[in-house]
Amino acid sequence: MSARQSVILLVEDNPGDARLTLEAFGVHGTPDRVRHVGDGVEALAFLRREGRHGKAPRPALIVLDLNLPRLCGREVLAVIKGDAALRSIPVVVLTTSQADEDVLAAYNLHANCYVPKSSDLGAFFRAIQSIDEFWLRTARLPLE
Amino acid sequence: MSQAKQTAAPDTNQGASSFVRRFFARLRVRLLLLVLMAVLPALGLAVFSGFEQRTTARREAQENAQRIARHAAAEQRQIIEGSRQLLVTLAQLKEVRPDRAEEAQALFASLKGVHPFYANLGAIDARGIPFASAVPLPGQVDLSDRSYFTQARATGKFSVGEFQKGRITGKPSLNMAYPIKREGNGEFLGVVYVALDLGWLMQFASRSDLPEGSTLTVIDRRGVILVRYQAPDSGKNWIGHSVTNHPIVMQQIRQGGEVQGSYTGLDGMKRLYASTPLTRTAGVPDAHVFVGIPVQTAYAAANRSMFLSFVFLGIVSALALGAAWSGGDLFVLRQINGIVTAARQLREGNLSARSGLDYGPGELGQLARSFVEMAATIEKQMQDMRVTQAELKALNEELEARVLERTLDLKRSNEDLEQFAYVASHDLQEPLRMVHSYIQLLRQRHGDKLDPNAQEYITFALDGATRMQQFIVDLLAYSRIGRQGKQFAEVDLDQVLDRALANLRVVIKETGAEILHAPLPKVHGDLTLLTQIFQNLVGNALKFRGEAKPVIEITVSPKGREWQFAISDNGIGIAPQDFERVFVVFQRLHSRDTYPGTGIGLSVVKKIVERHGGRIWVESGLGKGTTFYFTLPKPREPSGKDA
Repeated sequence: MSARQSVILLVEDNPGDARLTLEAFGVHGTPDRVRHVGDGVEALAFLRREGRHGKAPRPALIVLDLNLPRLCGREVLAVIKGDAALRSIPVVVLTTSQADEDVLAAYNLHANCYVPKSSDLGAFFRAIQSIDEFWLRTARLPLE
Repeated sequence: MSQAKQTAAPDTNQGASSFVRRFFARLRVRLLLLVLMAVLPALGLAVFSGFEQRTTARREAQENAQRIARHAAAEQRQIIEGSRQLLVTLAQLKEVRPDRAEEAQALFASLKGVHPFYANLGAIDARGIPFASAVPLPGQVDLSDRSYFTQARATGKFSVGEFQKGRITGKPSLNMAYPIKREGNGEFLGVVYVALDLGWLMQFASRSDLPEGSTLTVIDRRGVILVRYQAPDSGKNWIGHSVTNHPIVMQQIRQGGEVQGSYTGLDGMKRLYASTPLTRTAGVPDAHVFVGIPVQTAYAAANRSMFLSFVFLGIVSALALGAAWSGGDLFVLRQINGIVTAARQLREGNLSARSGLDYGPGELGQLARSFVEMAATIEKQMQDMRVTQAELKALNEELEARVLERTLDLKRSNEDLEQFAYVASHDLQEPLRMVHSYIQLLRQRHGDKLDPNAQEYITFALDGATRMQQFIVDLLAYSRIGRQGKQFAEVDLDQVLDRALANLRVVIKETGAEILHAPLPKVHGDLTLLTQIFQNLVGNALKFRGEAKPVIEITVSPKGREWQFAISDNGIGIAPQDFERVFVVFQRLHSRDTYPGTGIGLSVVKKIVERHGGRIWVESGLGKGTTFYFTLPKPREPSGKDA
């Protein structure tokens, strides 16, 4: 029941990565529960239910890529964590960069978690499944 | 105050001596000294010649005196001889007999008129009583005791008496007598005599041209003055005066012969004296004639000549000194002063200063010319130097500008490169991961539908993608070393080594390596980067180990302002020709199959060491193990310890 209610917002510009991530999530549930947007502007519109996202649900978890067109991942993160209505939503930064400064920058902007994308498929799948497992099944999230 | 007094004396001395030194250093003074030195011999010559003249004058005066004295003596001898002849003749005359006294008297009286230098002529009878006399007898006179009488009577020959004062005439005279004998038996009847008036000597003296102040004196052997002539007449009558208290005169009298000398006379005047004995006949002199010429007079000519010499020399010297003074000014000093002034101006920076003198021939002209040439050379050199300096400055500025430009270029280029490396590794990584992931997904989902060839292709594709991934990761790490800001702090290298060895603990355990290390110092640096140095070097030593159990030794030694670290192993070693290559990015000495890795490790170490201000090098040989050396600056001592 709770699984049906919980929606994950995936902010990912690369269709290949998006597809792979969705595949990883899809192993454990219906594809509907993961909503995908292609850039930062779109992501904020979804969260604020603007434009075509007027009836969008409030996501239980945001999975954010840092490398985004228009509005980059860090800016999106800063806006979310600066917005009183949105900052309680956990944000998992999922990115290719292994750089220490990127990791530090993300946590400084109050990212809840930083997960590097592994190029090993198995490792990548395991990482996504861990996120799903931990944030949506193990952790207790605030009510809407 | 006492101190001041103590130091005052040497100061004055120094001042005086330095003043004297400066005085004699002056060109004009030296010139005058030269002139004086030239005049001095002339002065000496004048003095010498003066003395010579005086000596000559003295000799001449003395000879003159001697000659006059001798002449006087000779004259007297002639008079005596003449008197003898006269007396011999008179003695033959019949009138000159005591019995014909009146006739004789008349004869003598007439004769006296003819012979003025006879004080008296007369005749004496055998008893010694005069019976005839040209000068009237003063009364009863007895002359029997007179030596001329007694001698003539005794010898029967011509006799000369002593110098005496006449009893009849009262004048100093020299009496001569000749016996009167009777014809036939030769009976002694008496003597005929003449009294030679010594006054003739006065006349003689006045005829001899004696210089002023000269004297002619006749002194008998008892030391009594008989005649004294002085020109001009002093007015004092010396006749009868005794000179026995004048030792020199007395000595001369006793000595006899001709004597010359210079002494003070009776009247207190110093004279040159010459004496000649006056003799009656032969035998002992009875008297001496002294001729004295005043020293003053004798030397007058010489003194005058010397005086004139001195005056002349004085004038000449004065003229020479004056000429040296003004001539030195005109010919030497003005030119030299001109040069000195110009040199002074030159020193003060007025490079166009010249002596302003025309350069004649000679040393001074040459000096002036040399000076002007020198000044010109200096001026030209200064100008050249200024030009050169300006050029140099311009060049320098240009160079600095260029260096600055290059530096900026280089900085920009470096930044660009690092930015490129960063962006490239970031942006390259994503598509590469995509390739890698989907190939894996392909094999996972559709592997069972592919034949073995296709399976193998997928393996190669994955391997390539994996390796490329590693390259990118390494490149990113490498580029990050330079890009990160320096956040250096004091780092304990013992701790750093512990961290590095902890990171390698799996490999160390697998290989059973023995790692020896001395206590390491503290340095100023970045903990993470420094850890990487030790991790990579020890890691390399483990990776390239030989057959034997790996033994790795880490040592450190101070080298001036640096610490020098050495990490040596007993591994496979490196050929000397590869020493440089090992530090180049992605350079590998071995195949990937033998020793995996991208070949970035040592490049990273080198970059870290250099970023900390150190150097790194390697010593090795194939099969001889390898030692990596690197240096790190010693941390600066806290300023408190410095002092």
